[in-house]
Amino acid sequence: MMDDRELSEASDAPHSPDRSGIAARALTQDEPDAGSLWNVLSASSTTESGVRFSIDLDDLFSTSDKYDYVDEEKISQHLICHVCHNPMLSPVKTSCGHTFCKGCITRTISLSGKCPVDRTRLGTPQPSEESPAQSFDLHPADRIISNMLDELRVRCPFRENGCVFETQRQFIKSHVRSECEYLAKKCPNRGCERLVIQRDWDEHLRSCEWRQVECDECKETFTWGEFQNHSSTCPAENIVCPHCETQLLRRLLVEHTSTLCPRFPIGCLHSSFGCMWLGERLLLSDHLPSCPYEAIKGFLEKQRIVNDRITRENESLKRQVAGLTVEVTGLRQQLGVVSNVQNRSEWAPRNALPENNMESGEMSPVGLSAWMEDGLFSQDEGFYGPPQSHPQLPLGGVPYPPHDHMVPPLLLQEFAIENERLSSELTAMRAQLETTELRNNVAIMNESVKVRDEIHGLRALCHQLQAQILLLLDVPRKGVGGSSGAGGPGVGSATARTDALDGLAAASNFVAAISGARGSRGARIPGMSSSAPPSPQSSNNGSTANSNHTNVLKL
Amino acid sequence: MSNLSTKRLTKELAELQKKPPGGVTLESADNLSQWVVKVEGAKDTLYQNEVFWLRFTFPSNYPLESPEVVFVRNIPIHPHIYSNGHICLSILYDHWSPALTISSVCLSILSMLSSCTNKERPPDDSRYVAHAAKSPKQTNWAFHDDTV
Repeated sequence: MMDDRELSEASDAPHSPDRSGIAARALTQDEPDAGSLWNVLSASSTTESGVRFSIDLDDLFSTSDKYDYVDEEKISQHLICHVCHNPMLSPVKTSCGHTFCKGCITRTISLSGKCPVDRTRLGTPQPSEESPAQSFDLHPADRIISNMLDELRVRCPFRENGCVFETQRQFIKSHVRSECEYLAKKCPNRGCERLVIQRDWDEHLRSCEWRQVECDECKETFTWGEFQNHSSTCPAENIVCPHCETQLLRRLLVEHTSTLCPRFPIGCLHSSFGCMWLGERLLLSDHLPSCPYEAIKGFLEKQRIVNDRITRENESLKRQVAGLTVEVTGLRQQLGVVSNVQNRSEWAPRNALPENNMESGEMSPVGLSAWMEDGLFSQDEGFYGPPQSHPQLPLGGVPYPPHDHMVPPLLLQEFAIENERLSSELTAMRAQLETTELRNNVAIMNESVKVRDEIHGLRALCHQLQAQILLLLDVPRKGVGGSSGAGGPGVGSATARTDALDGLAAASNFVAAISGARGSRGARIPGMSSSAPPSPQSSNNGSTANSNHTNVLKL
Repeated sequence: MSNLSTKRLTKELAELQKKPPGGVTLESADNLSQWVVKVEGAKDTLYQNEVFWLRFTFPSNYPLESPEVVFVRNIPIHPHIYSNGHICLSILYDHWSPALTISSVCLSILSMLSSCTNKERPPDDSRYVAHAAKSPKQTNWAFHDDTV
């Protein structure tokens, strides 16, 4: 019987001291319910076994290390399990006569199939899941062993909570189950997180700040903490009016003081007109006949109505002005865009405006914007009136009539586009003109250079001719005789020089004449033999004369 | 580490620190899963005045499963001890029993050393060391010498 009880108890709640902390933590997590303390404890145990022991050990309660043994080192070695080195729990005996914890030996045999002490083969290698003990041929240990283990002294697992109880191992469960007052449980009141030990349970429930209470007056429920504040604000409580000492419900107090209470201090009915009188409500009827405002209240009332009307009007006018301001701002922005476009295209200045208008039917941007600014926004003309200072502007093809209140934005845009186009055309033409001019200049330059070169060549020719003529004139004078007159050739030379400068034809004629004269005299210049014999025909021919010149140059 | 192995290792650690068997000293146990134990060669044996270190590595289901035990630093020259520290001793592998403890394993190894008559490496030392796994528990041991 003892063995059976011990075995069954192994699946019950644990009882060693380090259980208490865990139990408390688990309790904190558990939702408090109406269950007994014991129910809460077993729930927490289940939770813990599920978390910590589900992997390695199937059954948390088959190990005895959770017990807090008194004088553990003095426990006989014979009562210690060889596998876990703790006092045996649910001891079982193998067929070879050794005793172990039931859980320890079961797991050992499952792994190795042998007795840990003498390696005797035990049971079948693959035991059935349902009853491993039977398949391993295990039997409950001898009664004396069980009794000695049951009588080992252990401490209450809730020592940390204050329980100093010690008892035999076999009784510790019943202690926790029915006696121990140090089990902790979370307070069931919503909001209260305190862990309360069983001993303080009732008192805590009576005094918990979070317990629910019902207001006797308004029948609402509160926590005790809230109720402390509620008692001074409960609308259903009977209170005394602080002014007239009438008894009434709190929720009626405001209404009472604002309309009824005869002692409540109020101002005169005409306080809005300036009466400074202040007094209890019941004295008001005494005051009114003497109130200076009472006599003229009809007039004051009328004035008030007029005042109100004017104020309302003023408001609506203000709104209108605001709307108009927005509109004007928009228009000003549009105008700004147009002006910018036209300014960029560098149109004619403002004084050239009339001619432009007449010719192109368009408006200078400067003039346009000036007109807009002067006219549209001048106070005299009204917002959109046409300007008097530029009466000619709307004429000349400007496409909007002078009495229009708005300049159509579409037209302004057309202006801008047309302007842009014309200015770009102008730019292109100017560029073309510049190109043409440049080309002409270059051509003229080339031509003039050529002509200048020719002139230079001719000038050089003339000089040479002059030199030759001088030479020729000198030769006959020396060769024929010094007496042939120095004055004649001197004059001829001067004449020839002048003629050579005058022109090519004159020079050639001159040479021909000289040659003819020389030939007739039968004199020859060395190196000129080929061309020396002159003929009267060729002397009058320009082209022949030219070729002669060429030969002369070769000298 | 399961609760069972933690509890038992804590107890064994306390036991080993409090009253270690002769020639056995706990060198370090930085955590519960790996310890280093110093063993001294017994007097009047071939290993007299020699000191060796055993490294214990505990599996999570200790003591149901055997710890991994190897020599480190100074490997004794012994016919059953390979030069990589692996020990050919049946109780460390097939014949492990949960009833064995760190102390008893140390004493068994000391006794194995003491019974040695000829200091030499195992005949297949170089072949084994070249191919052995990191842990001796992965070796498929054949135990033939019953004299130790």
